Amino acid sequence: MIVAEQKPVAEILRMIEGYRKILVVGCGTCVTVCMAGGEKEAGILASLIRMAWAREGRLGPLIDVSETTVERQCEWEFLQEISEKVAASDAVLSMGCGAGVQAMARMFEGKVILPALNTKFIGMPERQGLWTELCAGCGDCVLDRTGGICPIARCSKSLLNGPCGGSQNGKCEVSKDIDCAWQLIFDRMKSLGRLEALGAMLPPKDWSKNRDGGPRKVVREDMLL
Amino acid sequence: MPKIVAFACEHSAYEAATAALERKTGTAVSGENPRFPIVEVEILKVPCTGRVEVIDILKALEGGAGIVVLLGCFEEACHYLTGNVRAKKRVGYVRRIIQDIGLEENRVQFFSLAPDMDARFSGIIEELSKQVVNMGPGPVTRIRDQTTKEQAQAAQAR
Repeated sequence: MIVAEQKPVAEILRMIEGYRKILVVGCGTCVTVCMAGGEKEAGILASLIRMAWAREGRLGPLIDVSETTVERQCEWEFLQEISEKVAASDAVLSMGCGAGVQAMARMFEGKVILPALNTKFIGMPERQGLWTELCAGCGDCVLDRTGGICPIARCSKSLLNGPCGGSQNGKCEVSKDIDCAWQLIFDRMKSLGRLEALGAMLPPKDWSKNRDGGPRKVVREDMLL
Repeated sequence: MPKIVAFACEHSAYEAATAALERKTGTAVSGENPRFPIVEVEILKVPCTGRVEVIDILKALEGGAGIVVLLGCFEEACHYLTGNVRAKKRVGYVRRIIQDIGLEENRVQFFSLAPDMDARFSGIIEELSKQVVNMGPGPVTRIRDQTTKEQAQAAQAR
């Protein structure tokens, strides 16, 4: 899932200065699970904006802050459902990830779409209230060779050839709170009885599948209409 | 009139509030506030303070409350084990985010009570009543009052 966190309220308030009718749009998928931009969070943000504006004496009949949530902001079908609400607003505060914000900006041409979240990474909920990065979307997955532990996302230096000299007692030199990804990989491969696989000679990683070709696309010819 | 909204756990604080009413030691469940009649008190019975969401607290503030208070069980005494711990954390979170919009953190508070603590319940309400008088009504009430006053003045001028 994509993990995000809300921008500071002060930054959001600065973004919406000058607008009178704000629609806060939550997203019911990834950002709901990471509790950053779901239905609850959209309600909380809209309420905070209303109170902040009330404090400034800005509430009145011509001023409106409302909220709604769609199943997924990054799909046209779900965005169509809120077309009328978007049309009635001066600006939209998207609580989706970066993909959601951009999908809305494309769907609703001529409408100001503003991001209420900072999109952080692809990861998972480690435990209640804690999400960790697991995948960097590098485009050339190596998890088959690393025991299902990603050195790109989880090694602070994204090393591909084992731990650096800063690895101490299984921890990364960047922080004692960070496990050394290569220690994890070694331990996991050992438990799988596959340690010899780590000795295999491999060609350099194909970084052309990462970002150096500009925005990436995935095409499924069999799905295209 | 300044208003306090209290979310009271039915296993502890609500019983204390009921006892306070019966013994006439202080604030009544019905919303009377004998020791501080210039402050309105609304007491909402909840199955557990852990059931009170962030948005419930904000809606109460938006609805005109000057102070929102969660009254739950003491730690280790929660009927649902950790509901009160969650509630305390949520109150801490709301105190932080309302400061971001310039509101006083003391507009949202948490207190622990046992069912037989009717005197403590009354004391808390009395203290909060003093605080809400000092802080003034919540932001939405202020603007509503101001609008009403301006409308009245405009009508008078006509």
